[in-house]
Amino acid sequence: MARFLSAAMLAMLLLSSARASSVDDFNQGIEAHNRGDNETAISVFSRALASGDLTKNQKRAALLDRGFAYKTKKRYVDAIADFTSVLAIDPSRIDATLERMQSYLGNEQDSLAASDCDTLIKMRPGFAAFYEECGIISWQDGNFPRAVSYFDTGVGLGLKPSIFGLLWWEIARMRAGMPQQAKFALLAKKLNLDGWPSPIFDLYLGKSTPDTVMAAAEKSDRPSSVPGFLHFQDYSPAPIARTTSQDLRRCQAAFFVGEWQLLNGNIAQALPLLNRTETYCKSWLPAKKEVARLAQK
Amino acid sequence: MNVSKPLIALAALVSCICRPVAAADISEKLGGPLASLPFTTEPDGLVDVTAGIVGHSVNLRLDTGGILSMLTETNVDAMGLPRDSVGHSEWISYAGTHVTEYARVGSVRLDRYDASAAKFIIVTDNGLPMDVAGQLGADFLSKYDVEFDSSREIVNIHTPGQCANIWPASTAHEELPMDVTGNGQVTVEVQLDGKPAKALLDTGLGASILSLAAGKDMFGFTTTTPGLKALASHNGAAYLLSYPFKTLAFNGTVIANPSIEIQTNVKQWPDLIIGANILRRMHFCIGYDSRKFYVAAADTH
Repeated sequence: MARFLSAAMLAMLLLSSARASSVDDFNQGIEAHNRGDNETAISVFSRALASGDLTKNQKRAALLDRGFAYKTKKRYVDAIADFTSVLAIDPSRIDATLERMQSYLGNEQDSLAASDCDTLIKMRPGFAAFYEECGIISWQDGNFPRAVSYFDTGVGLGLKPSIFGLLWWEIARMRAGMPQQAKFALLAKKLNLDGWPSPIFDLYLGKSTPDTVMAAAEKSDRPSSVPGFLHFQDYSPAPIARTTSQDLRRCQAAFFVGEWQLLNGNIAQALPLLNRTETYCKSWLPAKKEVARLAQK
Repeated sequence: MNVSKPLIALAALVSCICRPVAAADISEKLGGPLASLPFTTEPDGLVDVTAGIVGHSVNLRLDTGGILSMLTETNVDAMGLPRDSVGHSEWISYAGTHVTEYARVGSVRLDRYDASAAKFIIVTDNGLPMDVAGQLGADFLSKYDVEFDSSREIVNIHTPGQCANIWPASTAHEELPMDVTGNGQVTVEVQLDGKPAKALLDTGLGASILSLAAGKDMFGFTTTTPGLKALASHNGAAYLLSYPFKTLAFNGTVIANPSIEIQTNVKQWPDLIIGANILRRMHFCIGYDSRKFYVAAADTH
């Protein structure tokens, strides 16, 4: 009897030790995720998940984080598998659905991405950004009327539309042959824009030129705010917001001026601008898809 | 014979005689915490719990280091909550955006307990992850005793004073004096590799952070200190360092190999902030009212 009890206690101790090791791996994985160390995140989360010792709650977080790491490394198939596993545990996760949608797009599985996007709208029917996301997917697919229906809904939510949501609404409507210039002007006025990206709006309202927009994109305004917390101090350490916002602005200028040229039938001027987005926002899908569409013509 | 139940009932009766108590106090004496909330670990390691607000079920992050409770714009709209303007004398900023409005919430349902009315500042949707509708900050949490039981993945909300009853005296745990600022943030004295330091306990921060200035004072860090490594740099200047600390002690409760990042260029108060990466390795209870911090190893029950 005593021998049996000792064996049982030893087994419990071993189990407890194995569980502690898996939890250590889990904790290390979270830390790796938080500092953007994807290799370590994949390695330690894989070990923790393989142990089978994680709780359901930990397993969900581990799969999510490993999925993020796979996605960042463009291992889309692995990322999709992890996000799908998360959704099997908890179908209500918005982040897993959104990340899987983006992974599908990266893996060029646009129809599955569109399906996830529709799910996101069902999850958050009042969230304009999801309609914009679905509109962009339809636009990338060349289905402009469908894109318009998404952008219409997105633009109609809230007191005023989102800035880039309205620009997308405008280019989708023009591509679909359903322009509404007066409404665009009205909605743009509601935004009461001061500074970037008002030069892009001016171009689409016929008040400016492509060169003016491109020049404005090079101007350096005050740096964008970096995220902070409601604590006494701001923990955001990296002073990189300025560089990032500058390239993002150049990307936006190249894309929307390129689209404007295209809408005006100037393919020769449009193509180099759309290609230029590759420098500022590498592999940004809307520009990439547009360039591919032009190449087929 | 089981005598524990009558004794608890007697204790509740004595409590009723000594001071007037709300119904919730009595139910706690008889049946444990006011609310026992399973928590979800988010991708960044922070935790949130499910709460009910005007009939909507929402996930709220628990942030002992955050001063104010908050809800995102979309969620305030979806729940149709009444709004008030932030007073002219207050300047609140979150995620780089000036906060202009509060949402008024009549009560927050936690488990089977209705917590009293609260004000939630309204923040942009970008301020929090998509699956999180808002957060319960120190303004809300400090009305209670709050217990984080990491190994059971539960947060218990207790009436003030109940932290003391979590563990029997025979169970290994520590009771530390704790300071609570006017904003409800809590600090305790800890020992990092044997050196004393005042530490903020912040469940709303994923990492734990020591300022470089404190690192220099406490350990004499220089650029040649063995083990001190750059984790992240900008233009050749490291702004985040790592160091292989051996122990972080809350008196007798000791965390081995605590992962603490060292910030070189950010002013912080206090010198050490203990974030979720270390806190989830412990079982602890914050006794706001008694100004005591109760802590034990994660699997101590």
